[in-house]
Amino acid sequence: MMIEFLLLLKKFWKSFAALLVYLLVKLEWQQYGYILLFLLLVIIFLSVLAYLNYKHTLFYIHFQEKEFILRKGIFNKSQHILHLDKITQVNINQHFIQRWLQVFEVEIETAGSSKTEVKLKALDENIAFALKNELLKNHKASVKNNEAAIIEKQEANQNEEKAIKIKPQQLIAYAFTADYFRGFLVLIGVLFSFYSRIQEYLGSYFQEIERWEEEAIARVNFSIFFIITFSLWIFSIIANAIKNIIRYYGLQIKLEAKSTWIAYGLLNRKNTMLQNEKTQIFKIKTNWIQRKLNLYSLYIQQLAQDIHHDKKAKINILACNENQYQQLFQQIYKEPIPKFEYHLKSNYRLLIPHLFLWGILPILLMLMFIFWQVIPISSLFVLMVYLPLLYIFLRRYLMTYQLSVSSHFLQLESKIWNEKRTIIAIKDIQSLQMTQYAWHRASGLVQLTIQTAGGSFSFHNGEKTAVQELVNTLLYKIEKDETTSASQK
Amino acid sequence: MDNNLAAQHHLQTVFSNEVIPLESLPQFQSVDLNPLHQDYKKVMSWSIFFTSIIMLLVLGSIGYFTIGFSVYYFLFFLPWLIWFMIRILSFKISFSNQAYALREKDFIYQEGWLFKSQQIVPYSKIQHLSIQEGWIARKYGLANINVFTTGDNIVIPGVSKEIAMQIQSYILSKIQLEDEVKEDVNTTLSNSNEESIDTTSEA
Repeated sequence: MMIEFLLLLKKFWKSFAALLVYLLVKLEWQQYGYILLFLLLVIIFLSVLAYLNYKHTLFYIHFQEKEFILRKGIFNKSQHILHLDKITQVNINQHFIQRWLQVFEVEIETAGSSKTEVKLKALDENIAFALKNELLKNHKASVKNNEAAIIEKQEANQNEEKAIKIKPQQLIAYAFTADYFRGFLVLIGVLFSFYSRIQEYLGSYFQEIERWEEEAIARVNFSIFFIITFSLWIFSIIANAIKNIIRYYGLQIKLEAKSTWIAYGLLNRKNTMLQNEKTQIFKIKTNWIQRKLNLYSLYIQQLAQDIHHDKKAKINILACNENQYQQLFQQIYKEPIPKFEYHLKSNYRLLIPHLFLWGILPILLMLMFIFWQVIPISSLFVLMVYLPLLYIFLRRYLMTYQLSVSSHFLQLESKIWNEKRTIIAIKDIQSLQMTQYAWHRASGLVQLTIQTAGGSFSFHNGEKTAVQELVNTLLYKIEKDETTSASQK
Repeated sequence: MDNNLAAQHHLQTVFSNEVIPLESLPQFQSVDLNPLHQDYKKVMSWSIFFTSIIMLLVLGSIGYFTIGFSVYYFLFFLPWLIWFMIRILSFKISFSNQAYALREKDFIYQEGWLFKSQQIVPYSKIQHLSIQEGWIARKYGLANINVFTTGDNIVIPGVSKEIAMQIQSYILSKIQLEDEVKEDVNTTLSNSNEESIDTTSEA
């Protein structure tokens, strides 16, 4: 009731806030009384509405028909009937207000639509979890009463479950090492500052006084520009870190036989369920520093009707360690991360776009800046550090970019600074697409796109015959997995 | 000794994991693909023709109401001309590259010239199929086959209606066959379980 009121108030606030602010500014202070009166009326009206809403909302489970029924509405009455077998996901969330009032929100989703079907705004903790258990378990024995049964309190035996907990220090370490691009820019910034210090130091010795004065003006502008951008970078990194810590604080993963529960959040506690069978893509990301600190982040894609709009199908787990992600993988796929054997490498042409973006473009920009006299010509020395670094990274990328196969899994791996592994089960492949660009016809290179029900990914610039071989192998394995899974059931 | 051999044989049948030589796998690249029906060209020409008429009418009236008939009037038809040329050219190229083939366990669809792609979909992954006839295509007895998987959907255009129906029923029979095999295995397994439980309870 209280929560209904507050949520209505929130809705009202969203739509009328602008008007209220406008009135407050526009009106004389003597007229504020009217506004207060208006607000009072609104509050009374909303609380009556909330009370009626609360009174008219009723949900129950009809065990015999295997239906979940929700009735609501004051004037326009509506009745939602969900078949229990069709329910795919039950989320338990707790937003800020709900947390304050010690209640939970339950979302029920069914197969066939990407949006949430039914949302129950405020439930007691016991009822919320009992409802979840009731909705997700298979009803076999519990059909005793012919009449509709109202949900009763049911204790979940959580002692048997395994759980993975992400410690706050892991999260903090992750937050400060996450964004490599920003980190990289900061690194360049630091190099620049060192460089200008040295130049200042040397300049006083070697350069003539006249030239020195000319350059000093340019250098002052440059250093101000540098300080501003540097502090902006630092600020954005810290802001990002704080955001991540608040959002993912107390991340906890409960492992059950058929599903995995993920709960996180400092202010808004979120509770999401992952059905192990529906997992399509398992992505492990890290970078050089994070690997040294034993930090990995996971991106898990579930089966989705519309991949681009269905945000719930994507689950991110930040800052777990190697042991934890292996445990999770084992839980989801019922076997450990396998050793991959058959490696398919890419051609050196893979590097061309990267070479353009990270090599030619920065150098051109630099030359332009030098031409416009924004930065001194001596800053070309930075290239002496940058180009070898670029060479090392690109070489590493080419050496590690590979598509590999084990008996039941397929993995796409790439390592530059960020290290990424995308693993899918071969049985989840929906289709395979081999594409050849017109300009690759002479070199005989092709792209392989692998479609799953949770999105697709591509392997670029593979040799045509090798890719064809892989496709044939994969088709064979899909068929084999299909028959073995049928006989295992 | 015999027992040992039998056990070994049993093990082999249950946990077999032989190495399959890659050359012995069926090669998808050596399949002969069927081109689209020749009448599909006519269908496309008609569709381009009708779209052109609509475009010309719209562009002409815009031109008439903005500047009226003048020297520059014909400039308004320039977008149509560009569109028309690109459309004709792309159609000519794409037609000769579109092809499809059915295999025992999957089907192959090829398209594109600039980005030439071959897509392979195993029948077991197909959710459903539909046959779609445009009003021009119907005059020539042609249809599109839409194949839906959970990942995406593929449209094979310009297949004669009879063949499309045959393909549809063929693929559907394949899907049903696989489902039946699965169900059979399941039922036999569950039956055997029940029987074993029964015997133990009796004992």
